[in-house]
Amino acid sequence: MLTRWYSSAPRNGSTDLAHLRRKMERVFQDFDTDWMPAVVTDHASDGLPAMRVRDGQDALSLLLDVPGFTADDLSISLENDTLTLRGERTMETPEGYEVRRRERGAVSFARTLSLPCRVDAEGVEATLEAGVLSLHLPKAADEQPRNISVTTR
Amino acid sequence: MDGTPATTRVAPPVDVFENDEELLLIVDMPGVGRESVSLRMERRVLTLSADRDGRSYARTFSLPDTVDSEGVSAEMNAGVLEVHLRKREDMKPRTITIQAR
Repeated sequence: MLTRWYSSAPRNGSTDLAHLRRKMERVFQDFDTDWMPAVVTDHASDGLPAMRVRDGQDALSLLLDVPGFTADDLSISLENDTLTLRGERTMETPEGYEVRRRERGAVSFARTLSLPCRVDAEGVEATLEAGVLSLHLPKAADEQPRNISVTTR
Repeated sequence: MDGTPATTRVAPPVDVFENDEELLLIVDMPGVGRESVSLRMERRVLTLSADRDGRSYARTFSLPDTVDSEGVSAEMNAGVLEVHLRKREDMKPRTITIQAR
């Protein structure tokens, strides 16, 4: 028994760890398919780009890792409180080169998020910089916190 | 680097290509500007690191001795780093012409 344990453990140690990590990443990914109130960070695995979302006081913000994407490779649509992000990156071998290792892979994704509140569709801004898509979604006016002043009599 | 259970350090995915002239590494590092990338070559080991708010990318490559350690160039575009590693002149394949007498 003991011998068998020793003979298999060191050999599989690192792959098990990597497997566990992937599993945990997937758990986090599943989490933020629905909106998380504070900050959600996940890492890309299974081809889904990493995303972070933040619920600020007057706006929601979202960052999505899309290295190598151009603006034309991405599409964003907002319908009521459902936000859909799509993108596609093709992977080509540079001409005249042979492949020695491939870890990046082609990416094709579609993510749908249920926003926790209504947003002002006209005010949504999307920018792409250094392979990160950032979305700024201002909350609809009546969703923003208001200060109610107390009057004394 | 792979399998390190640190939370803030990410090993970025890389594609490696090769032709007669060079090795080409293509690395996904979204959120990183060219000014925060550092490439270090020591002996035959290339160390890549970059900072991104809150976390960092790091990866080490052992290079074959066909690579000229002086002939390294890199460019960064849309969160993707390309590193060109030129091969040593004397290691490039040559065509030997057979002369007829």
